[in-house]
Amino acid sequence: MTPKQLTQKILKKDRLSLARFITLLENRDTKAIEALGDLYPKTGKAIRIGITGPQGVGKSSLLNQLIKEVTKQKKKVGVLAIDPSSALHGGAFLGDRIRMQSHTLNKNVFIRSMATRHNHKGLSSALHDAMTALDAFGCDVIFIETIGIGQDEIAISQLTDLSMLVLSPDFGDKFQALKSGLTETCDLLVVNKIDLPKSKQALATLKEMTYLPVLGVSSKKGTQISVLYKKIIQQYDALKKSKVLDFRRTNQQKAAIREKLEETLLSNFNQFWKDKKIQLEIDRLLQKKKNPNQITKKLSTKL
Amino acid sequence: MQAKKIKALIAKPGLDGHDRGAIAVSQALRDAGMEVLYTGIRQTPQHIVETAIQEDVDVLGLSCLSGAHMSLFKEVTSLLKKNKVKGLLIFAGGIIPDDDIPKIKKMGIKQVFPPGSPLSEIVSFIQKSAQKK
Ligand SMILES: Nc1nc2c(ncn2[C@@H]2O[C@H](COP(=O)(O)OP(=O)(O)OP(=O)(O)O)[C@@H](O)[C@H]2O)c(=O)[nH]1
Ligand SMILES: [Mg+2]
Repeated sequence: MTPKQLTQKILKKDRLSLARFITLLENRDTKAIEALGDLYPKTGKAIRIGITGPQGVGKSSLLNQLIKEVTKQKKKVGVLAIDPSSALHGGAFLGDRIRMQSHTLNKNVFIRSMATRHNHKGLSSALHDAMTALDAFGCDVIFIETIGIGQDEIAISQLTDLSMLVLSPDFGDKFQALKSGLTETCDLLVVNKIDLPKSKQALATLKEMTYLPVLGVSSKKGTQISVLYKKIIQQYDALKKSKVLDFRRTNQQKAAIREKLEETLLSNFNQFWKDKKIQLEIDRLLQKKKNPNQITKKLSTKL
Repeated sequence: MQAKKIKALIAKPGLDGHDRGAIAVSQALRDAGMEVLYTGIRQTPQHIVETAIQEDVDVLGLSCLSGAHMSLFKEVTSLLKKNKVKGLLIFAGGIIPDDDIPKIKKMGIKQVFPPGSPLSEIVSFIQKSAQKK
């Protein structure tokens, strides 16, 4: 089936076509990217929510609980869960899904795992486009789970309507270290695993450190999850009412365009870097005929 | 256009709880550069097929040690047909009597790896036979 036919079937809610189309987007298939044009006009309904936070804090487990909240209201949920590709061999273990698989047979839930595949921000290069597909497919809510390496935190906040940072009480003293840069790009701080000891202290410490709303939950026990979901919807409604949402959505498109241009530049640059001329210059460096600054200057004129 | 990747789902249908083999295969495929999902133990055929659909995998590995492989594999393969899933490379592993192998292959399962098969053999079989999308 051609990408164009796939998009037509996505609009008719065909899961197989949606899944195949996302694969083509991950491969950055030019025809599929073109066919997105048929889906864009059908987007805008879905609330796009980013979930980030350090490894193992319970992002997938929290998502598992949040999916329950959304589907209780008979709404459709899409999930894009990102896991890291190995820089060494390019392989990836897509381990988020296993925490959410109680929802697999629910026809109102579509979960898709994606590897980062060397995306320079630690997301997936297909992320924004895949959200377009899920939105056009009819999802009311789209959740994105990122790998939580810090730099993807800003990137995900730029590509979603709102985002939350998940932490856990066993971070305790490390909260202080997080302060520089991490906490302020999202809309909400969630402390997961409040069933663990010392969580009251951790919550109190965190609340002192930030002006953002802080909420403690336990994904294991299901504590405070509905409160969290209500809070998310409240925030979303407020964004919508104040027109901040329009502003954010325009910026999402802008960020996505920038991201794609950056990737083009980077891939052109990687091509340039493979050129034999570069090695010739490096050889001169080794022979001490030239210094690195001179070489950089000379090469920069050829960029 | 980026390099295509082989994406594999390793699944354990049925009731046995031994997944050391399935996990070892998952790791070997990942280390060979594939993108790998593992379902965990005790998954129903419906569940496995729906996961294969949503994740659009190229390869499905079924591991079964419980002895119920014939009915479970049959159910998985007929559900795949019913859902019009095409181009999927399926292989199986676990304790499977020799007599069953021809019948399993008739279901559309390409290869059967008995316990103790070298992981490198499974990896190169997949690299040779999988159709990347
Ligand atoms: N005690 C407790 N454990 C939890 C809770 N939520 C998750 N866990 C456990 O924390 C571990 C990691 O959970 P995940 O949901 O996979 O965490 P994650 O942040 O998605 O992990 P990565 O995707 O690998 O970064 C698992 O062993 C969970 O069972 C919780 O609320 N309380
Ligand atoms: Mg996870």
